[in-house]
Amino acid sequence: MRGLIISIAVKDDGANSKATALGQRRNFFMYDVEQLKRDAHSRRAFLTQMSAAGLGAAAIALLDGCSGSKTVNPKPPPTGGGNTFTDPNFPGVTGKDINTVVLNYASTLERLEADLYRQALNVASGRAIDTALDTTAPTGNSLGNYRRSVGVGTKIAANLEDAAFLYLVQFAYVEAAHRDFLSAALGTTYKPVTSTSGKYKFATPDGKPGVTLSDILTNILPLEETGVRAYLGAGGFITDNTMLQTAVTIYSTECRHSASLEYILGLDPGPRPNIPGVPAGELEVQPASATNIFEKYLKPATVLTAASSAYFA
Amino acid sequence: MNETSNNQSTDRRALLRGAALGAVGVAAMGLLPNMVMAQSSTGEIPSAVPGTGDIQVLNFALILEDLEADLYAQALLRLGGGGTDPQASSSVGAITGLNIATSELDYAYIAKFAPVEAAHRDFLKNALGAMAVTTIAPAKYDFGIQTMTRPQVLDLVLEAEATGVQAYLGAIPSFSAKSQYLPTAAAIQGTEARHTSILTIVRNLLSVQGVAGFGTTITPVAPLVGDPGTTPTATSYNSLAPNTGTSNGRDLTMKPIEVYNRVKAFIKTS
Repeated sequence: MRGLIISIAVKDDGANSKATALGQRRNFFMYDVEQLKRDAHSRRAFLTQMSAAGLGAAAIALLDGCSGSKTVNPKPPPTGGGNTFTDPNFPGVTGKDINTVVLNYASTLERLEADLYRQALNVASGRAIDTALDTTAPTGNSLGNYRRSVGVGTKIAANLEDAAFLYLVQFAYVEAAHRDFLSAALGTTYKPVTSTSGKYKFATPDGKPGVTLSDILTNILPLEETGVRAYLGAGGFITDNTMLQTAVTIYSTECRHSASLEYILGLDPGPRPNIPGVPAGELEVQPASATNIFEKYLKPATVLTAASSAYFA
Repeated sequence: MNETSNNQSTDRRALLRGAALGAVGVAAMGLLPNMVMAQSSTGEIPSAVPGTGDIQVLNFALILEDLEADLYAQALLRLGGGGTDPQASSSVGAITGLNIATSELDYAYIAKFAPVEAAHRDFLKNALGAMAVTTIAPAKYDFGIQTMTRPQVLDLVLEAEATGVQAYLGAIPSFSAKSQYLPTAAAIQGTEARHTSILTIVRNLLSVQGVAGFGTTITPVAPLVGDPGTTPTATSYNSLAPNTGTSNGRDLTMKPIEVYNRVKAFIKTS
């Protein structure tokens, strides 16, 4: 919230009042929100004034929204303090055993993916890029509180424009749900790999002139296709087939998302090789006469290196 | 799924959805002479499927891929110029074509995915070699497709793909732990998921275009947050269960016995 100045007109309390053109008295208070974040004294004064005006809850929400990670990434920061198990196939990932290492690897990617979808949706709907995902998850074919504010661009056919934005909304919530599902399942073992800031950089930031929905989805697609390859390349390490089944139920939807976005963008729905933005080094489970017979996979180390380099902020 | 005015087709689609069956036609695929009734739900591979362990799971997958490949073949004949399918049951006869233009979305994508399903079947058959179920006696199929309308054909193919998505997921626990076949099974499953979403988009587009019989319902291309899961089970990491109170945006599983019960009526001996 850089440079945001709040001007509050509060009804007359006698002091600090200025006469308006209509002869009414108003009190004007100017607050720099950045200063409010830093300065506890100013913050208390601000909250006192806002509460007097009956706007206490709004004031708190405003300050919370500016405080960084709490609502932008609403999940608590990674825990997993007792995670002492590592595996050389998953460099940098910890857990209590190989299975939780794999799930923390998945968590690394789902947390990243959920946040980049959130950013993408903000750009596509004209919101500030740090805005939290709207708490009301839309159901059915509803867009919830989101509306497309950018142009469609050149890759999306006219009859697919509405679906394109709808999928962006739907998939953003689904990725957040995946992240939260893994976080809940892992409990105190949950420890995705993140940057120091815990933040991620999206390739199509707001403010870039002329950004379109085509651009945004083109930048989102490799996340999904990488996710497909990541799960397929990691599942073989899981020793419990019920747990593996759970991981594959997530992977299955990444495949759906990938194909759906490809359809929207006029691309082959795959599986196909050498997708721009997907890390190099993808492998085949079986030799095949055509590329679309089997899904491809990537080794975890490849994904971790590439993802942190491309997306960690 | 839309209503259909074709009663026979309704019955078949109801079967695929697991509605109560009438007199059970035992799914003989020319296999073991004393076919047992379908097992009550153990979640394991039905005993009608030959083999044990991972081989039995692969044979189960082969049964489904063989069925699906022939469904695609019959669907293309029905949508296109018609003809005779060598794996169609004699009850099907020569299929009359509806002569849908090959550029139409449903025809185009069914044609695109048909060779993929055939490749899955061929891969499994080759991988299993002498232990492959269809080497005992090739299955024949009657899906009722010979009298289906254009939307009914797409609906049946879509339902088969969607079932395949859940069937592979549901079969995972039947494999041995860290089975060498699991990555390949998962690599096949992902393509079924893609097919399901693409055919859903195709169906939605045909609905929006107002093509006769497709109705107006727009179907989501993937599970949504808040979609129901199945019976809630434990969710500690030691026993992560696939389906809890809500799906959490994940695909659902279907136990092998349930899949088998849904498809076996299509499988004939001749």
